[in-house]
Formats: sequence, structure tokens, C-alpha cells
Amino acid sequence: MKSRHWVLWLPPLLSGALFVALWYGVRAATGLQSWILPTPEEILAAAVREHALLLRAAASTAVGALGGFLAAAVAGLLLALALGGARWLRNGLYPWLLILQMTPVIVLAPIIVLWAGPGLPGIITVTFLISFFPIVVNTTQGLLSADAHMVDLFRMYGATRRQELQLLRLPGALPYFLAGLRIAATLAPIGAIFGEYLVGNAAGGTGGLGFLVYSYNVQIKIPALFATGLIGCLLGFVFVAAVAGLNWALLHHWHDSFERHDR
Amino acid sequence: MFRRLHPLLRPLLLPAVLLATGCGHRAPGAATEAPDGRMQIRFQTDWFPEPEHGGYYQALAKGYYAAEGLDVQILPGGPNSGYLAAVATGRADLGMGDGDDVITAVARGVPVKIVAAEMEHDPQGILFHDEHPVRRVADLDGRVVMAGPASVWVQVVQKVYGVNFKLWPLGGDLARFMNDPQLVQQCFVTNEPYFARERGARVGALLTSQLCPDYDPYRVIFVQDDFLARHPDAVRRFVRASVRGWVDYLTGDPAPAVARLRALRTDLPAGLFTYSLGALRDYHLVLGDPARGERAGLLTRERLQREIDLLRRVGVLDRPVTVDQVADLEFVPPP
Repeated sequence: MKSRHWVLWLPPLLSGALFVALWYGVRAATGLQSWILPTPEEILAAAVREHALLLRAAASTAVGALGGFLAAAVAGLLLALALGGARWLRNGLYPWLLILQMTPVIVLAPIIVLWAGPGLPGIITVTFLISFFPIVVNTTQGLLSADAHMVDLFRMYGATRRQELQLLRLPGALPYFLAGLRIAATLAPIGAIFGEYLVGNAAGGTGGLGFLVYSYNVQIKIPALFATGLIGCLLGFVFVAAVAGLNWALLHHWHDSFERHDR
Repeated sequence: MFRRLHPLLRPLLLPAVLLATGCGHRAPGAATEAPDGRMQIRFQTDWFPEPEHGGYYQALAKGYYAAEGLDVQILPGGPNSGYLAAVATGRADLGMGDGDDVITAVARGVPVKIVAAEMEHDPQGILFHDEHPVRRVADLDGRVVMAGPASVWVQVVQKVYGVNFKLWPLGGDLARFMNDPQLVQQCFVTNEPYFARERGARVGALLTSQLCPDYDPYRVIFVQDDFLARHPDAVRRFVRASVRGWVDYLTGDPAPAVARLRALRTDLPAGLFTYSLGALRDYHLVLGDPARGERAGLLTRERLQREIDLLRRVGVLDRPVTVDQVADLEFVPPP
């Protein structure tokens, strides 16, 4: 088992080392200044130097990301229940959902500010818009994917619609819902940072990572800008890990995707 | 400054303002009282808190607003902050920003009015490397200039002065400028030159009004029409205290404002605040040139008319508008 782990870890470590070597090589060959192409150590040094600011910004971004993510999870689940329950609703609403998803958020930015307000409400709205769609689509698909034989069985024994939903369709849709959440978890921190960049106002001195993009950019603090990206990436991992944990807690004792590991 | 970052989005803003006028968070024109009886005023700025907002923070910190019976809350702006929309829809009572923007908005039916100059001269300018300097507008001929494509000064240079340059859209960075000694970039003379010099570049900056003497816009304080009609006295007191704050920020000890701003902008270096204050003074941006009869807050009918005429001439204003429609000159405090 241990040796198998090495097989998993070695390739990314090697490619990572190669990438860093290439990075230093390009820097050395071109002689570019650190504000054009900082080295990894300069980025880490900037992250350490700016850690107070970066951590506060990350916390602020996390609030926006969490708000938008939770709103998307709740609204996505409810809408999926409605869409999964009625074909006419599905046919009637689905095209509009697609239109909402495909409208570029950047165009909506002034309108979001107008309707939701700048700062946190706007940031949560942007995050919601970006992370809502995969949850709705996945969960609806899950609700519709119940085994036809099982549905026949339920109906043969005279189960009510409610029993069919509770005992068959919802448990069956749970892995799909969680897969939607996992996609949304990768999108939410990006959505929040994008939201801060689009409609943030850094009220009360708590600008998030998207705000720091403006600040570091105009100050030509490029290593700090890279460090901001690094922190944003870490925040994304925190969100994904949280959903992975939820996934494990809800599924590991019954779902095939976990049982297989034990065989 | 990069508040002009998304110029392509600006045309969207004004129709949106028109649509949404009347569905603000508080009924436009309504006002509330603080528990101590002072009138609450929400003042919208156009960007994240910055040294160029110092006068208001000085007035707040030194109690000038309180002395006028006002309880002022300064609302920070930001990208797409829609500072005009915020005031027009009643999310804020008064605001500050670009004079051209307010005039254009009024012409399109947005219910706001200019009541004072925040700055006698706009800090907007150009940044260039000393080795390829720009002394006059003709020096821009054939150069590459990074600027907001919708910027009025760009239109003025091209249409009024007949000078043609290659326009690159303005990004949020100085990196390309730093890397190309030929490049000219739009800036706030109170801001970007500091960071370019901090990174070792030898740069100069020129106000757009020095470049094009015909184009000398105000930065303004403006108010929602209903609010102005219902609370003219509060507007007068707000303007008086703000101008007092600006004069004190620039001629007295700016420490109270700087302390507040630094608490809100821990990301900015102390040096920027010193530099920015110096530039506000040296370019006479707020206090103006007394020899030309200028003073803090002053609006003149002649200059506003010239600004409107120029906006019409370059096609930014697509319909006629009068000085009395865009501004109320009764609120400028006497010398």
C-alpha cells in the first residue's frame, strides 16, 4: 500500500520540480525584474511580508464565498426539486436558466450594484450566479435518474409521490447534489474574488482578495499579486475539502463510490 | 486612477440609472435623524477610500460636520460602484465624482445636481518617462497612449486638437508602462507617479488641463434633486463643512484624515499619503489659483458653460443642457 502512494505522489512532485526549475531558468535567462516575473521564493517572501493583509482579505473573501455558496446550495436544491417534480416546469424554466447562466456576469456588474448594492451583497450575488447552475443541473439530473425498475416497484406497491421522493429519488439524487456542490465549491471562492473585483467597495477596511488585485497592481507589487493568487487557490482547496468531507460523511456508509475502496 | 477601468460598461450604467430611479433603498429625498438630533447624511465617494478623499475625512475627524448638525457617513465606492446611481436612487444623499460624468448624466435625465466643486482642477493627467517627455499636446502625435477609450480628454485631444495617437485600453496596472519607455499612460497625478518612482522609474506627469487648456473640468459634489428640494439647508451645511475640511486638510495638519484613511487602507504605504497631499497642493487642484479668482469649492457659470460646450463639441453630450439644469450655484460658500 505504501509503495502505491509513492507512485501517486512522485509524478506531480517531479513535474512540479521541473516547472520551478524552468521558472528560475527563464528568469535567469531573460534577466527580467522581479516586478515582471518574480521567482517562487520572492512570492513566498511577499506572502510572508503581507501575511496580515492577505489573511484578513482571505477571511473577507471567505465570507462572500460562503454566503454565495450557501445561497446557491439552498436555492439550487429547491429549484431542482421543483424542476425534477414537474416536466412542464422543467420545460418552461430550463431555457431561462441557461440564459441566466450564459449572460456574462461582467455585463451584469453595474446592474448587480444597482439592485443588490455594492460590497458584500453584490459580492454574494456574483458568487451565487456563478455557483448556482451546476447545483441545479446536477441535482435535477439526479432526481430524474432514479432506477426505472425501482420506480415501477414503488408504484406497484402504491407508494405515494411523497414516499417516492423521500425514499427513492432524494437518496438517489444525493451523490449528484454533492457532485454539484463540489463544482460549486471550486467556483465560489473564484466567484467571490471576481465579485470583489467587479463590485467590491472594501467597506470598513475589509477589502477581500479581489480588492487587493487593484491595490497591488497599481503599486506594482507583482510578487504580492502572485501571493494573492496563491492564497485564493488555498481558499479554493479549503472549500473543496469541506465539501469532500461532507460527501464522505453522507455517503461513505452506503454508496458504491466509497464501498469500492474496501474491496 | 483606475476608476475609469471599465469604460465600456459606462454606457450601460446610465440607462440602468434611469430604469432604477425611484427604487432606491430609502425614498429619495427622505432624511433621518440620528439619536442625538443631528441629521444623518450618507455621502458616496467614487472609489475605495484614498488620499484624494482626504477633505471629507478631515471634516469628519475634526468634527466639522458635527458642528453643522450633521451625522455624516462616508460610503466607499469601488469598481462599478455606480456613484451616480447610488445618489440618484437614494442609496446615498450626496456624492462626489467627475464633473463630466454628472453633466452627462443630467443631460440623460438622471435627477442630480452639482452644488460645489470638490476640486477646481481634475487630477487626471498623463504619465510619461523622462527620456521621452510630453510637454505639449502635439508631443502625443504618433505615440502609444494607454487610456480609458471613453475618456473625454482623449476625445478632446483627437477632435479639438487634431492630434492622433494609438490608443491602448487602460488596464489596472503600471507594468506595461514600466517596461516601455515610450509608453504614455493616463493617470491621476496624485497617485501613479508615486508608485512608478518607487519602482525606480524616472517619470513626469502632466495634467490633462495643462495638456489641453480648453479642457479643464471640475471634480464636483452633487446631490439628488428631491433631497436638494427638501433639505437645501442641510446641503448648504454639508458643502460648507466639506470645503472647510478640504482647506484644513491641505493647509493645516492633515493627520486626522490620514489616520482615518490609513485605518481603512492598510494596503497603502504611508509615503503615498504624503506624496498625494503634496501633489494636491503643488498642482493647486483643490484650492485653485487665487490669482485667477479660484478658491476651494467655487463653481463659476462661465467654466461650467465652457465644459458643457466642449462636451457637446466632442459628441459626449448628445443633447443640449443648460448650466442651471446641471448645477445650482447657490450653495458655494462665500470666501
